[in-house]
Amino acid sequence: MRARPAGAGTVNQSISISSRRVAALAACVVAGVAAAVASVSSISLVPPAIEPLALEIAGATSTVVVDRPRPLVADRLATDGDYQTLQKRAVLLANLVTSAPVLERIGRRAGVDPDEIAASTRVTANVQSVLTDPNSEKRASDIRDARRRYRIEVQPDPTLPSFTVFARAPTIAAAEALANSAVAGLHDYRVALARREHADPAQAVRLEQVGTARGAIINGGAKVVIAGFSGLCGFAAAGLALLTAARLRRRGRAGTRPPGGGPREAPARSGPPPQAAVVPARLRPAGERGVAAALADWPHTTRVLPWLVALFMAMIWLVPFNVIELSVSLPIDLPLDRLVLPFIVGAWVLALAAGDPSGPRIRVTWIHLALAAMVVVACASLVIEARSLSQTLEFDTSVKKLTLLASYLSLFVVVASVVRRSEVPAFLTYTLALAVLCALGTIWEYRFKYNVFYSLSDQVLPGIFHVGAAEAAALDNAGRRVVRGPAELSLETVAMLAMGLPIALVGLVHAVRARARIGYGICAALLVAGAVATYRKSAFVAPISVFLTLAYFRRRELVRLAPLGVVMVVMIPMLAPGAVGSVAAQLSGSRLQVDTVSDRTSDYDAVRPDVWSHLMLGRGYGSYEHTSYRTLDMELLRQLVDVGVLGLAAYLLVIGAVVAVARAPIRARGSLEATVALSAAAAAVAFLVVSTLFDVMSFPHSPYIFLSIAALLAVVSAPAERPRR
Amino acid sequence: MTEVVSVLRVLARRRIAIAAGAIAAVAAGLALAGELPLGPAVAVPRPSAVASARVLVDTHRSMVGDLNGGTEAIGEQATLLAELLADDAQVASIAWVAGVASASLDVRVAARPSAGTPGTLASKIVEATATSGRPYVVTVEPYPSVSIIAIETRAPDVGTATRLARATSGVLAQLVAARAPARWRSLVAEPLGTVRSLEIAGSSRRGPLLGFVAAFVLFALWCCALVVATGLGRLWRATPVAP
Repeated sequence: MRARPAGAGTVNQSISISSRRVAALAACVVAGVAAAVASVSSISLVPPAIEPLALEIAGATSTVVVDRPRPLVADRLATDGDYQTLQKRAVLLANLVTSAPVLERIGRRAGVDPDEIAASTRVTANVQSVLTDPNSEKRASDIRDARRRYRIEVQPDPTLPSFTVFARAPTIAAAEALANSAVAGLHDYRVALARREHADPAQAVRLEQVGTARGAIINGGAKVVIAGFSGLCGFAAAGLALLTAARLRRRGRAGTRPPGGGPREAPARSGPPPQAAVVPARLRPAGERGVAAALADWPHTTRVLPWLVALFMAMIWLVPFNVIELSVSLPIDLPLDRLVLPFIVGAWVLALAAGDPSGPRIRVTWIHLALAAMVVVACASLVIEARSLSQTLEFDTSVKKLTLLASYLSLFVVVASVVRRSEVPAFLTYTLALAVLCALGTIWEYRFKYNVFYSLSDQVLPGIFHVGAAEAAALDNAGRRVVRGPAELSLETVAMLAMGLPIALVGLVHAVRARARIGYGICAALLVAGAVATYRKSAFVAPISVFLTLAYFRRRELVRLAPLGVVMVVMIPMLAPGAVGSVAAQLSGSRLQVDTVSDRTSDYDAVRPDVWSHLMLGRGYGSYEHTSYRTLDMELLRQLVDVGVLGLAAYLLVIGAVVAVARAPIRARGSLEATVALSAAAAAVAFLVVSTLFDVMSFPHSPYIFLSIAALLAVVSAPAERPRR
Repeated sequence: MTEVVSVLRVLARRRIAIAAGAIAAVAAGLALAGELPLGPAVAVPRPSAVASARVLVDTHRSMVGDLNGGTEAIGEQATLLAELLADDAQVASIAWVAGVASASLDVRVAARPSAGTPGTLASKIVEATATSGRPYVVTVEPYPSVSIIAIETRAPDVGTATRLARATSGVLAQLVAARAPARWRSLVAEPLGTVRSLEIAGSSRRGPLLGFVAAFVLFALWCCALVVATGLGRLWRATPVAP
C-alpha cells in the first residue's frame, strides 16, 4: 500500500467542499426551474404530464353613440338640454348592457354561457369616490365574478351621449365577438321590448356602433414575468434553506455559535475608537493623513458611502421626491428616490464586492430577520396568487409595489452596514436637524401659504425633472387647509415629524448641560408645532404615542420633560396660531362624524370578503389598488388584505423587532445604545400608530425614515465585528 | 474615497479583462453611431411622412363672424362627429378617396381622459389597442371647447399622408351633410388652412454623442460586473457547506 502524499487530505477535502457547493448551486437552480415551470403549467402526477396554462388575456373595445331617430349630431338647432337628456339615456343604456336579460342575449350571440360572463357598468359621473367605493356585498360579488373567463365593462361618457364597451376573453377573436355582441344584444333587447309594448319604432333611440370592435392581447409577456418571478423566488428560497441548514449543522457540530453570526450574540462594547481616530489627523504625516481621513467618523471622513447615505436622508426629509419624476416617457414610474437609490445601492455593492476593510459590513440582527420575513411572505403571496392576479391584470401592479418594498429594505440594509457604531450619534443629530428643517418649512407653509420644499425642488432641479404641484392654500373635503410640507399628504408629514420627535425628547432627557436641554426643548416644540400646523387630528395622536412610549421606558426621568410642557404652551400658538384650537375642535364628539372618520370605520366591513377569501397570505402583495377598489385609510388593513394574516404578522413583527431589540439597550441608561434604542423604540410605536391612521407604506417618506432610524438601532445592537482577514 | 481605491485596486488586477471590455464597448459605440457596418445602424431605414389638417365645425352663418352663429351644443357635436369618423363606412370612404386599401388604414380617435383609470381593464385595453401596425394611420382629435377637429395622418410618403388628411377632411364634410336633418339646419365642416405635411428622415444613424455615451455606459457596467464577480467569487469560497 502506497503512503498517502502529504497534503492529499486537504486537497481531497477542498475538492469535496467545492463539489458540494456546486451541488448546492445546482439544487437551487433546479428548485428555481421547477418553481418557474409550476407557475405557468398544470402538472399532473398520474399520468405524469405537464400542460402549459393559457395565461394570456385578450381585450376588445367598441364605442356606441346614442342619438335620436332624426340625428342631432349635425343639427344646428340642437341644444345643450337635448344632449344632457341623451347623455342620461346613454347612461341608462350602458347600465342595461350589464343587466341579466341583455347578458343572456349577448351570451347567445357570442356563443358563451351567460353565467361565464361577469359584467359591470362604471360610474363615471362626477361624484365623490367615497360614494362609489365598493362595500362588502359588492366586493363579495366582484370576487365571485373575478373567476369568470369573460368580462364586459361598460363605461358611459360623463358628458356625451355615448358609451364604450370593454370586453375581456381568452382570445382576441372571442373578445371582439363579445364586444360586438354587447351592442347587438342590447339592440335585440330593445327590439323585443318595443315589440312587447307595441312601441313606435320611429321613436326608438338610435344606437350606432362606431366600427367593429378592436381587440388585442392585454397582458402580453405575463407568462415570462410570472415564470421569471417564481423561478427567482424558488432559487432564493432553496438557497436560503440550504444556507440555513448548513449553518445549523455547523453550529450543531461546533457546539457553539459561530462568531459574529447570531443575532443573540452580546452587543459589542463601545470600545476605544480606531487608532487613526485617536491621534488628530492634522498631527499626522501627510501620507497617513488620507488614511486617517478615511478611517475617521462621518462627517470627518472621506468615505463615499456615509456621505451618500447622508445625502439620501436629506432627500427623504426635505424633498417631495415621490412627486418628482423624469419628464421623459418611460414604461415604468420612476420617482426621484427610485432614480437615486440604485446608484447608492450600486456603490454599496461595489464597495462590498471590492472587500474594502473600511467598507460596509453586514451584521445580521433580529430587525434584519423580521424584514426578511416580511419579504418572504410578500413574495410567497405573489407566487401563490400569480395566476389569479394575472387574470385580473394586477400582477404588474404588485411587482411595482414589491420594487418599492425592495427600495425600503435596501435603504435599511445599506444604512445598517455603512454607518459605524461611533457614527451613530452624528447621524442621529443629523436626523434631528433634518426633522427640524422639515418642521420649520411646514410651519412656514402654514403661515405664509408657500410650500418651500416643492418650490425649491422645482427651482433647483434641472428641467428634465417634473415636480408635482402643491397648492398651499388648497382645502380638503372636510374644509381643512392642506399643509403637506415635503410630503404628498399632510398625514405623511405628521408621521415624519412624529418619528423625529423622540430624538429631541430623548436628547432632552439625557442632556446634562442646560444649553443642550434648551436646544432639544426648542427642537421638540418645533416638531410638535410643525405637526399641528397640518391641521390633522393625527397631529395630536402620533406625538402622544411618542410621549407615552418614553413615559413607559423612562418613568423616573419624566419629570425632566415637565419644562417642555411650558415651552410648548408658549411656542406652539406663536409658531402656528390657531392650529391647536382647530385640531382640538376636530376631536370634539360632535365633529367626529365626518367623512374621514366614517370612511375608516366602513373599511372594516368592506374588506371582509377579501380577507376571508384569502385569509393566510392575502390576495397578493400590493394588489389592492385604491383606484380599482376603495381607499383603505389604515395600513394594517391593507396588509391584511394584501398579504393576509401572515403578512400582517410579519409587518407587526418588524415594528415589534425594533422595540424588542431596543429593550435591552434602553435598560443601560445613559449609554449611546440607550439613546439610540429609546429613539428607535418610540419611532417604531409612532410608526405603528400612524399605520392605523393611513396607508403609510404607500407614501415612502415615512417607511424610509422609520427604517433609517431602525438601521441606526441595528448598528448599535449588532453583534461584535470580527477583524477582517 | 477608500471605497473607490479598493474598487480600482480590484480592477487593476483584471487589466486584460478591462482591456477586452474597453475594446468591445468602443466597438459597440461605433456600431451604434453608424461608423461600423454592424448592429441596428445598418438596418434599411423605413421612410415615413406625416400630415396634419384642422377642421372647424361651424354653422352656415359662421360663428366666427356672427354672434348669432353656432349652436349651444356645437362642442359635443364636433366630438361626436370625430368619433363617427372611426366607423367602418367612413374608414372605407377615406381609404377610397385617398387611394389606399381599406384594410391597411387605421382611423382612431385620440383617447379622452375619461378612457379609464390607470391599471383597470378599460385602460389596459385602450393601451393595448392603441397601435395596429397598419401602414396608414389617421388620428382625429376633437377640441370640444372650440369645435375644432385636428387630423393627423401618417403614411410611408408625403403624397399619401397629404391625400389621407384631405380625404378625412372631405369625408367629415360629407358626414356632416349626410346627418343633417335639412340643409338649412345643417352644420358645416370647414378646413382651416391647407394640409401641412412633413417627411420624417428614416435614418437609423444615432450620431457620435450617443455612440460615446453607449460605449462609456457599457464600459462602466463591464467594470462593475468585474468587481461584483470578484466579490461573488470570494463569497462562493466563504459560503459554509455542511460537512
